[in-house]
Amino acid sequence: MSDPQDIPQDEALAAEYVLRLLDAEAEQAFAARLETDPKLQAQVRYWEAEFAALSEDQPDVPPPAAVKTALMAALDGPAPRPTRRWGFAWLALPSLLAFALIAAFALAPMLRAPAFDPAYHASLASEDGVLRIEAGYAPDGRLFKVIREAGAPAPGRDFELWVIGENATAPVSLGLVPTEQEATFEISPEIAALIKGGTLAISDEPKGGSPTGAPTGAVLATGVFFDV
Amino acid sequence: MSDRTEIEDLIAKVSLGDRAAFSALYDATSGKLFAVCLRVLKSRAEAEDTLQDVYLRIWHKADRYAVTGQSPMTWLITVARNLAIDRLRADRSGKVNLDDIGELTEPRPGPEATSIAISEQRRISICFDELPKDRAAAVRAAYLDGATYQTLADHFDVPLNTMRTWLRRSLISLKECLSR
Repeated sequence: MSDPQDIPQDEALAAEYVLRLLDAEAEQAFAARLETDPKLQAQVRYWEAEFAALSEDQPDVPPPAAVKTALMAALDGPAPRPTRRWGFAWLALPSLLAFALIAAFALAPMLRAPAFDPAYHASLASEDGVLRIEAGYAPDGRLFKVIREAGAPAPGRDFELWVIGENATAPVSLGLVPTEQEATFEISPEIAALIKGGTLAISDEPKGGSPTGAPTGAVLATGVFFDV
Repeated sequence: MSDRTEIEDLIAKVSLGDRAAFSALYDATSGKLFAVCLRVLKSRAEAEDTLQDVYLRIWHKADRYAVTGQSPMTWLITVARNLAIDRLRADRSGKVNLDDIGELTEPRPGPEATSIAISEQRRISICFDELPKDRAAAVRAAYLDGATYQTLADHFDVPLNTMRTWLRRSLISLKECLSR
């Protein structure tokens, strides 16, 4: 690898890697070399910085406000769904499966989620009875559980959950009602403090949630949290 | 756009779980990162979705930023571009229709804009101007649009290997120009 011919070759290769032009096999081979080769790492950083200047020169496009609302709510929600990073990741699947099986047997007692033990409960039903939601809050781990027993948002709409503290005037978003029938997520200490004596509400919102941080659509149902 | 140290400070605070800093970082940079996602994905809905993933990644990985030694905007743009390309290739197996984008060359700023912009013109733009026009357009499309060799070969109507050779030569010329 000390052939001087390799120098421009590697420069171009590093640039192709940054541009994402390499095929899966070449990309994997380069990534493996990159792990241990500080010179290649420097070349990759070099190209990333130079090319990023192209993006910096492009005009900004402000995203709609709803993206930020959903994002801030998601910070407290479940971990983001994994993104498919590399096209060849499936190659690793058999060994990953084998590992997962072994791990499942070996670690099952440790991995089992702690029992959900709610101290507060709220039961919501819309006037027409079409929408029914049960919610529970367990202060141990600040876990909030939502069970959607009936009802689904209209196409292009989402249900958003709100909590209104006992002495508060404004509702605070708990995020969207998850698409799963049942979901548990951790909530922030600020929101957790509102639950005792508070009210849970559900509103009909544009896809992605209220763009304003306050309910914009119809409030479909409310329920007071009660001690279990 | 806020300056470099301001964004660096925000990223450092985000790595400690500071939500207010995260909100400020979003306000300062989301216009740029949304533009990056939109340019690659050509769909507002997909770009919005990806933008959320991008900022969740930033929230979770902010502690990794310092070790990269990159400028903060380089790091943020790289995260956004990579996730957008992942999304593009997962959805459409890498097909970008460059004809959908319209023109490959950037609109030129008017004369009054040029005089202001010239002092801020970046090295890379100057070096792009030294490349043959179509080759510069191909490299820009690879970066900004996430185009693959196949897409570029189809668009410029040359064999795949010719496109590969073109592009590699252009990259080496760029590097030479940039190191002058």
